Amino acid sequence: MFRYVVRRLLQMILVFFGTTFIVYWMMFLGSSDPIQALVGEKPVSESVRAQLTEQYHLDEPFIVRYLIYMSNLLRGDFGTQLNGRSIADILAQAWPYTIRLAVLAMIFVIVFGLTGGIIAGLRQGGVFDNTTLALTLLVIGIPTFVTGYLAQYIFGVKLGVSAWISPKPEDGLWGYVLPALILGALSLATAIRLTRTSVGENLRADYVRTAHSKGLARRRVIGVHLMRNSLIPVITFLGVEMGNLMGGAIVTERIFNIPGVGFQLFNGIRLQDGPTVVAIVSILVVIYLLVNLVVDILYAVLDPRIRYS
Amino acid sequence: MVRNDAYAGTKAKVQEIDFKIYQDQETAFNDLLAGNLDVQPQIPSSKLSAAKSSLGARMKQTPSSVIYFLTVPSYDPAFKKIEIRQAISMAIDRQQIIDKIFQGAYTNLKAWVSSVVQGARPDTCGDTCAFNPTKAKEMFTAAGGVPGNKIALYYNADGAHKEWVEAVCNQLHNNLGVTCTPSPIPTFADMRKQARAHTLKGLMRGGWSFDYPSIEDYLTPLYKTGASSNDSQYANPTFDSTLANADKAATSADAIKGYQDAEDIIAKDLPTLPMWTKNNIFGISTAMTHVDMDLYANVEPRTLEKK
Repeated sequence: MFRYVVRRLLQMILVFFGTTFIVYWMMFLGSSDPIQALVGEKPVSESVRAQLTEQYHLDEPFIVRYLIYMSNLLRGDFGTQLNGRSIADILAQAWPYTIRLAVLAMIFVIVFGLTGGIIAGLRQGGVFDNTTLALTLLVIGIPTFVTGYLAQYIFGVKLGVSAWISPKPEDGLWGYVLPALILGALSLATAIRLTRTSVGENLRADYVRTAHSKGLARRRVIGVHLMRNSLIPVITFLGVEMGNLMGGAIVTERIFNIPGVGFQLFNGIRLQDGPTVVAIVSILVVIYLLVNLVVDILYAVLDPRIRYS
Repeated sequence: MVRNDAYAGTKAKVQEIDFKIYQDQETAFNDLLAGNLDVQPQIPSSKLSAAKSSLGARMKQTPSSVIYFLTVPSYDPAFKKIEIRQAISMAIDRQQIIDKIFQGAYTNLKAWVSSVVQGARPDTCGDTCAFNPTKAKEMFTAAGGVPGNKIALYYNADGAHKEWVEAVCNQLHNNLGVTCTPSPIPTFADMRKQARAHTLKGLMRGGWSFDYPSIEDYLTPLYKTGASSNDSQYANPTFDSTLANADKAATSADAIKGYQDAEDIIAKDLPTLPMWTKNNIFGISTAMTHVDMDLYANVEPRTLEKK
C-alpha cells in the first residue's frame, strides 16, 4: 500500500509538469499582445511597453519564459499579473468561494444522488423510479446556463429569495444553496442513474440470492453486501466529478456573480495572462490527482479483494 | 465610497455608495428587479423589452456623448469612389434597426458630432443618411459596384454587435445586391490593433465618446491626417488646415464656425458613415428618488437621493 501511494505520488510529478507545460504553451500561442489586452483600447506609451516587456520577460523565447515561471513556482512564488497584483493573493481570495460552492454541490450529489439512486434501484419500475428517470433525463438534456438563469429568475426574482441572485457575504451558506444545486445538477442526475443501474444489477447477482437464502436480514443484505459492491463505480464517478465541479464552476460563478476561481480563470484567458491561468490550472490538476488517489485507496476499503502492491 | 461630512461645498445626499462588480449584466438586472441593486448604469440590450414592462418609469433614458458609425477604409481602392460610399449609406435603414433591434434605445444620427456638444447641427449628412434604396442601387450600379460584388463588415465579437451588423449586411444585400459578410474579430483589443495597422479590407464598426465636451474632440482624433483613431486613414490637407485655423481662432464662436466647416468637409468625403447615438439607459430601484447620469455615461454620485 505504501509503495503504491509513493509510486502514484511520483507519477503525479510528471503529470503536473506535463499539464503546466501544455497550458503555458497554449496560452503562449494564443496571446497576441498581452500589454495591449491589459490597457484595452488606449494606446500604450513606448516606455511603459519597454518596462513591462523587461519586467515580465515578454521578449524572451517560450522555453526561457516557461523555465523562469516554473522555477519561481517551485519556490512557491506564483508571480504577479501584468497589472502588478500578486497572483497568490488573488488565488487566496478566490479559492474559498469556489471550494465552498463545489463542496456544497458535492454534498448534494452524494446525499441526494446516492439516496435517490438506491431507492430507484431497489424499486425498479415503480413510480419513484420512473419519475427520477424522466427528471434526470431532463436535467442532463438542459445546459447549465439555461437552468441557471431560469432558476435565478424564478426563485430570486419571482419568489423573492433575494440571496439566490448573487449571494452577498452576509447571506452565508444559504446564498450558495441554489448555485450549488445548479452546479451539481448534472452530476446529481448522473449519480442517480449510475447508482440505480449498479444497485439493480447487483440485486440480481448470485451472492445477493445466496445471502437471502442463508437467512440474512434484508437490511444486512442491502446495507452491507449490496452497497459495498454497488458503490464502486459510483465512487469512481464521484472522484472524477469533484475535479469537474471545481473547474465547471466557471459558468455557475458567472451567472450567480460569485468571485471565485472561474471568474479569475475567465479574466486570465481574456487578458492573455498566462501565469494566472497556469497557476489556477495547476492547482486544479493537483486537486484532481489527489482526489483520484483517495478514490483508488477507497476501492480497497470497499472491496477487500482489491490489493495494491 | 463614504460621504465626507466636513466637505465645505455642496454635500452629497447619500451616506455611502457601494460599487458592485458583476460578471454578467443579466445577473445585475435580476438583482435590480429584486431590489438588491439600486442603480444599474446600463441595461443589457437583451433585457430592454423586459425592462420596459417590468421597470416602467424606473427605466430612465438620458443623452450621452457616444456616437456610432461605420468606418470606410480610404486605403482600400474598392471604396475610393464617393458614390459607392453614398450608396452604402443610403442603402441602410437605420430607423428600422433602431426600432427592431435596439428597442428604440438608440437615436438616428445624421451628423459626425454628437448633438450634446456646442456647435452640433442635427443634419449635416442630408440625403446621404436618408434611407433611399432605389437611388442607392442606381448610384451603386452606375459607379461600377465593388470588386467581386463583396463587402466585409468587421466587428468585435466580445461586444453586443452581431445582431445589428447582420441586419446591416442583410439590408446591403437586399438593397444593393452585394454579398455582405459579417466578419467578427475575437476581441476589441484585436480589432483596434488591426484597425490601427489599417489591414482590414472592408467596412468596420466604430464608436466615439468624447474625452472633453467640445465639437473639436469629434474631429481631430478621428479624421486629422495620421491621428491616433483615424482608422479610415483619411488624409485631406484642406480638412487639416481648416482644423488648424479653427484651433487658432480668437473667439469660441469663430472656432465653432471653423469646426463646423471641417465637419462639412467630412460630410463630402465620407471617411465614416454616421449610424446612431446611444442614450444612457439605466434602471433604478424603488428606493431611489433621484439618479443622474452624465454625458460620459457615468452615474453622478453627488446628486443621488434615496428614500
